[in-house]
Parts: sequence; C-alpha cells; structure tokens
Amino acid sequence: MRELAIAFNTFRECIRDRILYNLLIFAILIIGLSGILSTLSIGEQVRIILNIGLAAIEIFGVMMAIFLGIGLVYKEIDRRTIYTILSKPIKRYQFLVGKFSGLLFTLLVNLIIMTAGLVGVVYLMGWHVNSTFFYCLWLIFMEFVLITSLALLFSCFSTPTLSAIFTLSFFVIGHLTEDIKFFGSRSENPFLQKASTILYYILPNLENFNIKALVIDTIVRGLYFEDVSAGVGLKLILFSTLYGLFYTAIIFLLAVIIFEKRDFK
Amino acid sequence: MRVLVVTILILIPPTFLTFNRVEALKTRIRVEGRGLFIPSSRFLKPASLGFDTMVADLYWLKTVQYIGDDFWFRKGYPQLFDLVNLVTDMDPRFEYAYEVGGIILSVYGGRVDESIRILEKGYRQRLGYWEIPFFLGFNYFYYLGDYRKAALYLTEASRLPRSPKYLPKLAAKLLAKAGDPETAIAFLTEVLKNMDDERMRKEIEERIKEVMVERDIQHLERAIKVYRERFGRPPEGLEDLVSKGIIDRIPPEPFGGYYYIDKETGEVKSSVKKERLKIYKKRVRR
Amino acid sequence: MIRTEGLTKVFTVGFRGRKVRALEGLTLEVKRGEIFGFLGPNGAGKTTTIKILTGLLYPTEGRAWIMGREIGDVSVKERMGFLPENPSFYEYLTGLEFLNFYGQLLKIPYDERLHRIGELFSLVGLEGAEELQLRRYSKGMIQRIGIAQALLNNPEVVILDEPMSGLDPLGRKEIRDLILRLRDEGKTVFFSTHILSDVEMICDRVAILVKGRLKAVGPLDELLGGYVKSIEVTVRDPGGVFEEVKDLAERVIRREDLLLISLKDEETVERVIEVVRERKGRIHSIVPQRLSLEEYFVKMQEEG
Repeated sequence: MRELAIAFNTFRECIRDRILYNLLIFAILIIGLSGILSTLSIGEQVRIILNIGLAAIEIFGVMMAIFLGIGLVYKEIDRRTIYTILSKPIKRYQFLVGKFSGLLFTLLVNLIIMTAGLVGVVYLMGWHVNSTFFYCLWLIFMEFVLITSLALLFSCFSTPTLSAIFTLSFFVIGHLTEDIKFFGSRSENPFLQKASTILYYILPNLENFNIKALVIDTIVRGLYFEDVSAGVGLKLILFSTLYGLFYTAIIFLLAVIIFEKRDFK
Repeated sequence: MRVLVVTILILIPPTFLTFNRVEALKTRIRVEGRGLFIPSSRFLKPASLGFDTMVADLYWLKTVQYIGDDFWFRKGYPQLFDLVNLVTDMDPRFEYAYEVGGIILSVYGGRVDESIRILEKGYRQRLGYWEIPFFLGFNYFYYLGDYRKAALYLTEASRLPRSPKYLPKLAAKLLAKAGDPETAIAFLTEVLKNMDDERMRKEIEERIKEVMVERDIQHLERAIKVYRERFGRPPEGLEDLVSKGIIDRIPPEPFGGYYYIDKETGEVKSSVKKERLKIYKKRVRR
Repeated sequence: MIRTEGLTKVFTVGFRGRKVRALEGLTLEVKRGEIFGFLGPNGAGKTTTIKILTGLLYPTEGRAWIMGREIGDVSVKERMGFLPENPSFYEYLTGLEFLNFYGQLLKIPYDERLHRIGELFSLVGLEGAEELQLRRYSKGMIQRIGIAQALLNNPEVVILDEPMSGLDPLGRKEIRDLILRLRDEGKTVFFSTHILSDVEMICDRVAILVKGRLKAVGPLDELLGGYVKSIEVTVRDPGGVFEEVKDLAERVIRREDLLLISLKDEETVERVIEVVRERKGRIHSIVPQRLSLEEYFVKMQEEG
C-alpha cells in the first residue's frame, strides 16, 4: 500500500506542524473555559458546556482541516518535494488518496483528543454523556471530511492564501444555503429565484451535519438519540453521512482530474 | 480521465437523493416540535470577534426566515423572542428588530409579555424612534387594558421626531375615555397607518372590525335599555328599535354578517363573531 | 535505454496566454550502460526534457520510452532513479525517516530496506547524519541524500538534473566518481549540466541542446574537436623569424627571444615551421586551441 506510506507521512507532516498545536491548544483552552463559564450560569450548566465545547470542536477542527488542507498539495509543489515523489512508482491519484487520508487521520486523532477534553469537563461537572453525543461528533467529522476535500481541491491549483479564502467562504456559505434558498424564494425576480435554487443544490449544505442543538437537547433531557422521533434521528445520521460521502467523492474526483492534468513546472 | 468524469456523473444523482432525504428527515424532526439552535449571546458575543453587528444581521436574516415560515406561524413563534433577543444583544441599536419582533410577538404570536419585554428593551436604548413606545402603548392598551401606561407611552412617542401629529390627542383620549371603542378604533387606525406588511395590515383591519362589532353591540344594547325603559319589555327583534324610532338604522355588520338578539340570554350578537370582544381581556396565549 | 521521438513542449505563460516553445522536436537515444551528458546553457530545455521523462510534465507532442516502455508507465519508475535540480525534501523528516519513506514507496521489504539505507548513507558519505532532520542539512548534504534516494531501488537508469550544482570542487569530484561507479555497476546514467569540466572527464557521449533544439550528439571530443579555434606555436627566434611570420599570424607576442604565434590553420603552421627551420630557430610546442564549451554554445546560438 503505497497510499498508506504517503498517508503516514502526511500524518507525520501534520503533527510536526506548529499550526496544529496552536489550534489544538486553543480548542482545549476553550473547552476547559466552558466548564468555568458554566458555573456562572444558574441551571442548564451541561447545556452551556456542550454548546461551547461542541462549537469549539467544530470550529477548531474545521480550521485545522482548512489550514492543513490548503498546503496539502501546494506545499509539495512549492517545495518541489513532489518531483521525487512522483518519480517513484506511484500514480498521481494514489498520491492524492494518501494525502487526503493522512489529513483525515490527523483530524480524527485531534477530534478524539478534543472530545476527550470535553467529556472530561462534563464529568468534572458531575454529568455524563451518552451515546447520543457520539452521533453528533460523527457528523462533525463528516463536515471535516467535506471541508478537507474542498481544501484539497483548491490546493491542487491555487495558492494557500486563495485556497484558505475559498475554503472558508464555502464553510460559511455552506451553513447559509438554506437562507439563500429562502431569500431566493422571496424574491420577485425569476432569475434570482432560479439562481438561488441552483446554488442551494450545488453548494454543500453543511447544516446537514449540524445536529448539535438536537443532540444537546436530547442529552440534557437524559434521552437517547435512538428515541428521537421514533428512529428518525438515526436515519438522519445515516443519510447525512451518505450525503457527505457522495459530495466528498465528487469533490475529490474533481481534485484528481485537476491534479492528473497538471504540469509541474 | 474519462472514467473519472463518468464516475462523477454517476455520483451526482445519489448525492441529490440523499440530500432530499436529509431535508425531509429534518422537516419531520422539526415538525415534531424541536426548534432552532439559538446560541447564547454570552457565548456568541466574544466568539464573533468584534463582528457583532454582522452576526446580528445574519441572525436577523434567520429571524425573518423564521417569521416567514408558516409552520412556526401556526405554532405562534415559540422561539421568536429568543431570536430577536439574540439579535438585539449582538446589535443593541437594531431598531427594526425591536419593532418587528415586538409587533409580531403580540399580534401573531399572542405573546404579549414577550412582545413588551423586547419593546421595553428597545425603549431603554433610547434610540429616538417613536414607533417603539407607540407599539408598547398599543400592547398595553389593546391586550392588557392598561390605559394609563398606554397613554404614558403614547405621550413619550409623541415627543420623538417624526411622530404622527395625532398622537397627543390619542393619548389624551385614552386617559379621558378609556373604555370607548371609538378610542380603540382611532388607535388601531393609527397602527394600521404604520404597517406596510400586507398580512399584518389584514390582521389589524380584522381587529378594527372586531372593535367595530363591539361598538355596534354597545350601541344596540344601549338602545335596548332605552326600549325597555320606555315599553317595559325587551324588543322582539332589533327591527323594533328602528320602527319605534329609538335608532335610525341597524348598523351594518363589518364582517358582512348581521346582528341579532340572542333569545336565551337577551344579548345582542353578531352572526359572524359569536364571542364578544373584551377589550379588558388578556389575549395571551397559554 | 532512453529514447525520445519528436518531444515538443509548449508552455503557456501569463494571463494573455503567450506561448513559449521550450522544447522543439527532440529525438534522442541513450544506450545501455553509458554515461550520457545532456548539455546546454540555462534555459535550453534540459530540465523540461528531464521532467517529461520523469512524468512531471506532459509533452505537447512526441513520445518517449525508457527501458522500452512508454513514459507514464509506473513500472518504469520501479527501475529508475531521479534527482531533480536543486532538490528539496521533507524537511521535517530525519535522513533515515526520509529514505525509509521512499523505500516504502518503492515497496522494498523491511530488512532489505534498512540494509540498503545503511549502504547508501556510507556510499554518499552521510554517515552520522541519519538522525538529523533534513532542515539541518547543508546544501551539499541535501544533494547527497538526493542521490541516495535516487539509488534506493538499485535502478537500471539514473536521471540526474544538474547533480553538481551548488557543490564545492571536492563535492563535484565525489559526484563524478560516484557516476563512474554507477556506470561500472552497469547502470545507465543520464545527467544534465551546463558546465563543461563536469562532462569532459566522465561522459561517454553528450547531447547539446540550445534554445530547445538538439544541436549535436556524440562523444565530446568529436563534437568540439571539429572546431579548432587556433593553433599556438612557441618558437625560439635566433633573429629574423619574427619579421617573416608576423604577416602570416593572427597575433604574435615577443618576449626576449621567445615568440608566441597564434595561427588560423594547419597550412600556415607548415609555413611557419619552414621559416623557423630556415632561420635555425627551435620549435618549443604546437598546441591546437579548441573551443571551450561556452564558446561552442555561443557559436551554436549564432548558427541557430
């Protein structure tokens, strides 16, 4: 498995990158802070911890995905390390598979570390989380996967700064697509109506991976996600995951097409 | 290369299908009574890194969307207060949010105390818009029947720039002739003038008609009292009041129905609005 | 071992899509077991050719084969080694981690890999630098580890792009010795350079590329020998020689009784020798002055 060697090296590259530690330290700080903040509140402490904690995990994870992802391919070209890599018996798409999975593995490890921090804070406050919590984290990870594929795509043809701007914009817009559709539907202009509908379907809908409110509500009430709306909850997880995987596959294949065609001057 | 393009094309339909499926599932979960995730401003304020007003705008867009959603309209906007409260925490000078939030909470949501809380929050900001105290006055007058407070807010409103000339008169009228439906009609007509939203206007026009019914019923009941004093018995029907010359004519029912005397209770009723409007009655949901 | 047929590369540069023809119909053959020097001034298209051969660039036109297989075939790369110009590697890796990673890409089994890496560290003279991160390597060390990675799979064909650039004279000599050793092991070495001295001592054959076009292929002596710039004759003049030869020569320098005479061709050399004999002078030396590579390039550019 040559992809595995690339993936492992990418993981090593990421964990030797200072950006990762800065983000991780900030994430853990904010998660820790959520415990302190929650003591200021009267009642619903666990809700505050989970609100802040899950938001921190998502935001910092996305930042890691973006800031590590944008350099994924670009850095290899810029530092000319790609010249010798591609002179080895490895196909270009295998290189991308390796890079992509290496970063995803890095993100998974970081997600686990941040989650451990959050679970720790929740336990310290005398609460506990149940399996429901992990469904939410799973979808957050799916969001990381999608964002990483976007960063990888941009990284194949654009500079890190531009890639970061593109990917961040997608992250923001991805959470607002439902609003775009809504405003389009309110518009009198038929062109705007059409355009907003098309955008709604083409742009990644990152709200599909956002079940934080639902999950926190379920946990605070001491319920399990399996009970939510007679199994609708689990179906939502399943189809959101499938959506994320399909969308990511498309973006990844686009990246492969661009990367395969590229000349390395 | 062709394989890649074909694979992408193959992947597009399942992406759409799962997308639609997720959309349907989200609607189902929402229908079953769960609402939006609204962060606390205590968290969002620092997290927005100084872009408070922009975040306020974004949440305002969400709020407008929430208001436009028929599902939440039928539910009486359970989270509208939280949304508007967040928006105005993020941007305390967001006058329009106080105003629209306040009106919709009371007129559509029947959430008068929440409406008053939002409007009073805006009023405390002293933004100089007469609309905020005006609608506060409307809430106190129309839903809570607190004429003194209503008149107070109207007087405040009349002191602010660009307020209608009619306001001081209305305030005085409120203090003098509190229970008079004509006062209510005058007030509501003033409210109507300041509404541009079509659905809102309809709602207010409805209210005006309701008050007109109340005015007509009061008018007819006074006539019946006169009739009873004069003839020692109640009239058979409303037509008797006209034929005996106590009133000129039976006023037209504004909803297109007619007025009649309930045989059992002897009260005057409208064929359309069976319930009599109590201006004093608190119209608060739940 | 390496064969190209009409390789052409056109780059599109800038927003206006200006076309730059970097390589123009290159047809070339490198034989098994030879050291082949690929010469040309900067910007001649050497690196472009090498990048096409290693699959980093796609040719606009033409085809190329290495070991009988068309480039792009991954199996070719299993038996090939490549060192790019001014190489740069993952600076966060130690030398050992780096070679181990590339060994994994080449699917060399673990034990063999470790053995091979150990061998290479001593071959390229980097003993003791195994645990050092590549960011702490000097330029020369990077060049060496770059050669080590090119040799990991014991390749049949080694392609080196400017392997001596940035090295001190001692380093250059070591690389030259290494290339000779590779040939002795039966490998084919294809390397590019713009410095003549690198080439003339070790190359079996050279190709000369100017402005994207192939100007000449063959043994270096043959190529440059065809262009004798002048012949310098040194004679002892007992008197009278100077006066007779100064019209035949391009230039004569007199120092006491010694004359340094620059002559255009062999015919005038004959006549000068006759004159010297008549005047009882003595001939010290006759040295043909060949073109230097730089002058050759200039000549090529003038011709082309």
